[in-house]
Amino acid sequence: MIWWFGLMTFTLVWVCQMLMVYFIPAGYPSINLPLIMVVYLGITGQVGLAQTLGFFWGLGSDAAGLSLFGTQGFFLSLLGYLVGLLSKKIDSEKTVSQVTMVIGATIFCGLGCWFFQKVFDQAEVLRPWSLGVVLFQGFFNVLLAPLVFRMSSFWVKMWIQFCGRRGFLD
Amino acid sequence: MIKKNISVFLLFFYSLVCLFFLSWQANQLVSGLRRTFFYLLKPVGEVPSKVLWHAGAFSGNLHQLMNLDSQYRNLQERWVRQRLDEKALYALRTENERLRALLSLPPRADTVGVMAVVWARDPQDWYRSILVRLGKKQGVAVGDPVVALQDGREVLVGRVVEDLGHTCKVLLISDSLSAVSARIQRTGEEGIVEGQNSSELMMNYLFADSDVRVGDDVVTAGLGGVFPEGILIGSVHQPSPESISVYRRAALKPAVRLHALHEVIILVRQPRGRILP
Repeated sequence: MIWWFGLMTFTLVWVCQMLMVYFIPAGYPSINLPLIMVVYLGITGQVGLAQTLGFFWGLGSDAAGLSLFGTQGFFLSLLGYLVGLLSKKIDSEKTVSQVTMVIGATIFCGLGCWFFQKVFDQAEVLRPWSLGVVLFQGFFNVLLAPLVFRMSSFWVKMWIQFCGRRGFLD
Repeated sequence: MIKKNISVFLLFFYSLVCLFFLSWQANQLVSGLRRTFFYLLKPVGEVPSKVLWHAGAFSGNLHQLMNLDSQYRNLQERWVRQRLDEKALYALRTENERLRALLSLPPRADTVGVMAVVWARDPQDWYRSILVRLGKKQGVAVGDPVVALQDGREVLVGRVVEDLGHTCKVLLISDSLSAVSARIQRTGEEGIVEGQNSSELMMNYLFADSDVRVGDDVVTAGLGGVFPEGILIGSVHQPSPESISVYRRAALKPAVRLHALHEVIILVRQPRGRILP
């Protein structure tokens, strides 16, 4: 059942992300829904799932976007692991903790992507990188994070009810 | 412990894969994988976007459809109106042609042609009488001859028998009470053309040796002072055989189309010394 849950979550988040991109004009910083979901899954203890989904969402974003193939895949899977480590030290139910994690994750991934681009991109002229875009994205992510966390809880509860037992994610 | 180890293993594995991708960007395998990922995930995002796009366009399309429907109704109304206008225009054109032809008639010395519109027929028999919108008030008198224009030529219709003020009744030449002194134009032989209450006329009192032939034109003789001379009555349709009696007869086909009379000309007699407008 965990596989089905993973596949459905992956598809749903990807569709939502695509629709969000569809509505936001090109060139504007968009909300990074996969990142928020990785943080949610990591913070709730689903580290393996967060890593795996983060890896595939990242590769999908790389394939669909302009970043180097593997950059976001690497950072989202790493993010899943790191959030999993931190989840035991913070209260994941508090909105402040969620928001802090999301903004930290956005900056971490943004800087990481920029660093990887510097290191791995062989193009002579690199695409301009702006801290402002990362901060804007962080801001939008923070705005949406509580809502995504609530909807994700509802999504997980729905699956638990559907499966009829609590530990299906274990 | 196992769970933690799995996380570490996954981290190690995914990191390795990603670093491989990053290090060999130009590699065919990596670029192929990137393309595969792109084509696999493309429909997942594309289909909902298209659905949304179509949903967004739905209201616009509906609005356009309603506009088209309204335009269609307007056009249909205009089309019907135009058809009616065309018919009215055709009627006016034909009327205009008839009136123009009437205007081109040669003037007569003793009568003035006054145009009158036919507005009613004898309800019992179409071949008996008509009512025209012209009467005593316009100078029309009982006995005035009535003609029509057929192919640019005056043809006899009948005569005024009753005056009703602004209207008068015209006895048609096809009525059995009608008798007109007539002449065969080709031979000059005279006789009396009488109505039969049908679409045919009968020319009576032709001499037994008359040379009447099919197709001969018959015109008014001008005797009796009712009808002016030379107005076409009709053409011989069927002459009776010779030597059957003292007189011969000939069935005529009237020149006037009695079933298609719209306007007629009443030849109003001009009193001596008076000039009618």
